[in-house]
Amino acid sequence: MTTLHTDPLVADYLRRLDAAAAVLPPQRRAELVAEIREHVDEALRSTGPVDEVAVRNVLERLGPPDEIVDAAGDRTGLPPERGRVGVLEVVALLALLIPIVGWLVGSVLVLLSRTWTSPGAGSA
Amino acid sequence: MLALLRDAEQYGFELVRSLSEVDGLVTSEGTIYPLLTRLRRDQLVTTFWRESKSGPPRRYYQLTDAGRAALTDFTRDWARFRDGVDMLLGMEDRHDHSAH
Repeated sequence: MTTLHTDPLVADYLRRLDAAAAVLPPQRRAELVAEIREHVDEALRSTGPVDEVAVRNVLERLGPPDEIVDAAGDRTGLPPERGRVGVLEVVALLALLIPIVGWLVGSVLVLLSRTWTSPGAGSA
Repeated sequence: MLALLRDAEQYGFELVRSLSEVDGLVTSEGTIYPLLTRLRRDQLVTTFWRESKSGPPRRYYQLTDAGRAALTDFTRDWARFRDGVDMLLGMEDRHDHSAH
């Protein structure tokens, strides 16, 4: 583990995330917190000087812990309805299909996200 | 082409950052992780770990055959949807013109 977790802002954020995630099954909860912790580490590794502004920006981009847990709670036990793949799911799949995820994919998908609405779509 | 598809893999962080660059799609990067977990659970993607020089091992995501099939389904549905909308817009257009 890196020393980045000793940053009080990060530690506080992860603590709040963990608390909010108490509604999830234990394994799911642990996995989610680990993923987010790893994301913070990776993000701060790539930003250069790790100062308070950098940390706050990373946490800001991650979003409120409650929102993340809400997203994790969606459809946990229900099978996806046929044909009802949310916009964000499609974007994620497309991003994996096309190695170059750039402006080309992005502009196509902006169009998709504006005209396709589905309850499964993320927080957009 | 198949080789391209096979190699199209990204690790969590870079995938999340790529998605967050699509304007207007994501407001909270953290919510993408549960989404990826759902894709994994629904077996549309698969993951594997790979060593990283700059830190701990990273989890990489890759499409499964089911994932590609889901995209194909979506593309087909989308084409129908888009054609339907275009047709309606075309009718709307003609109506506007005839009313003026």
